[in-house]
Amino acid sequence: MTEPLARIPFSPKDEGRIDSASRWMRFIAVVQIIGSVIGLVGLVVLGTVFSLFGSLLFAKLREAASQSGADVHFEADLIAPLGVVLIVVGIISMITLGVQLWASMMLYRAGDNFAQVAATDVADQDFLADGFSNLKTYFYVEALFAVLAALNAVIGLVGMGAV
Amino acid sequence: MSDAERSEEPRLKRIPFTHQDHKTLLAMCNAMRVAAAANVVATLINTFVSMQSENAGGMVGVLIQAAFAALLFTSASHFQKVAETDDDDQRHVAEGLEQLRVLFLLKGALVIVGITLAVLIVPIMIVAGALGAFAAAS
Repeated sequence: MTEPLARIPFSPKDEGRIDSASRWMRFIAVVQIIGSVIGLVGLVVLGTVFSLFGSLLFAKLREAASQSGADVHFEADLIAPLGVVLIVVGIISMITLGVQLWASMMLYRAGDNFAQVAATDVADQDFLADGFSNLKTYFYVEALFAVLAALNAVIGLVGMGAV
Repeated sequence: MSDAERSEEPRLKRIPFTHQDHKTLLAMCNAMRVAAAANVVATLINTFVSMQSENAGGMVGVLIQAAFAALLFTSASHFQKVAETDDDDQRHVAEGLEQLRVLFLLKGALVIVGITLAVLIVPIMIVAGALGAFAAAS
């Protein structure tokens, strides 16, 4: 079995480009990580606020409905379905943000690997292989989100046609 | 070794990646192509919707997504050659990473422009809102 190459003779120009690529990858990764963390924190805050004050809001709505004499079955017709929808949306959002956060960390690690290729001559082949492995994971997630976006666009188009 | 000497070193025709590394490369190429193709489909549909509402911003988004897709496809083709051939591995790795560099540079530029606009627009909106309230009160 051939030993992995410690040094791949990239030209100084290629090494500069690889180093630049690694920096931009890490920049995008950091931006996406910050966005994902803010989104997750925001969801937790929203969920907390809703659980604390949601029952108060619904009590006020129920009182207003009974005073107006409207025949509304609040629990069955409004609260239960709304609660289920909100919980499902919240869970899906948290999973999406969590997956995006993980993929962004893979992109950051890929950037690190390629930076090592450009800056050192100790294990170029291994760093390249690790970088490609991390990039593969990142692009798997990107592909999944892109397919979901395409499906969403198709559904929207069909909906437009129906209207 | 000087930069001039390093620039004249012969490129490797074959980088001895393992079979597993080749599989990883091919899987990455497929994922890149799926992401590029799905984004193109979503963009084309959104283009159609934009044309219905004469939204110029949608057309700009189309051009940007098309550029991203082209870069992903080109990069994937270079990495696929690394996995499937032993002709010019080093050059294909360098070219593939160069395409990715341009892709992430464009994304980074868009992020910087977006953050700059957000930083500029928020104070302008606050000032405009305050001026409007002042004008309404007087």
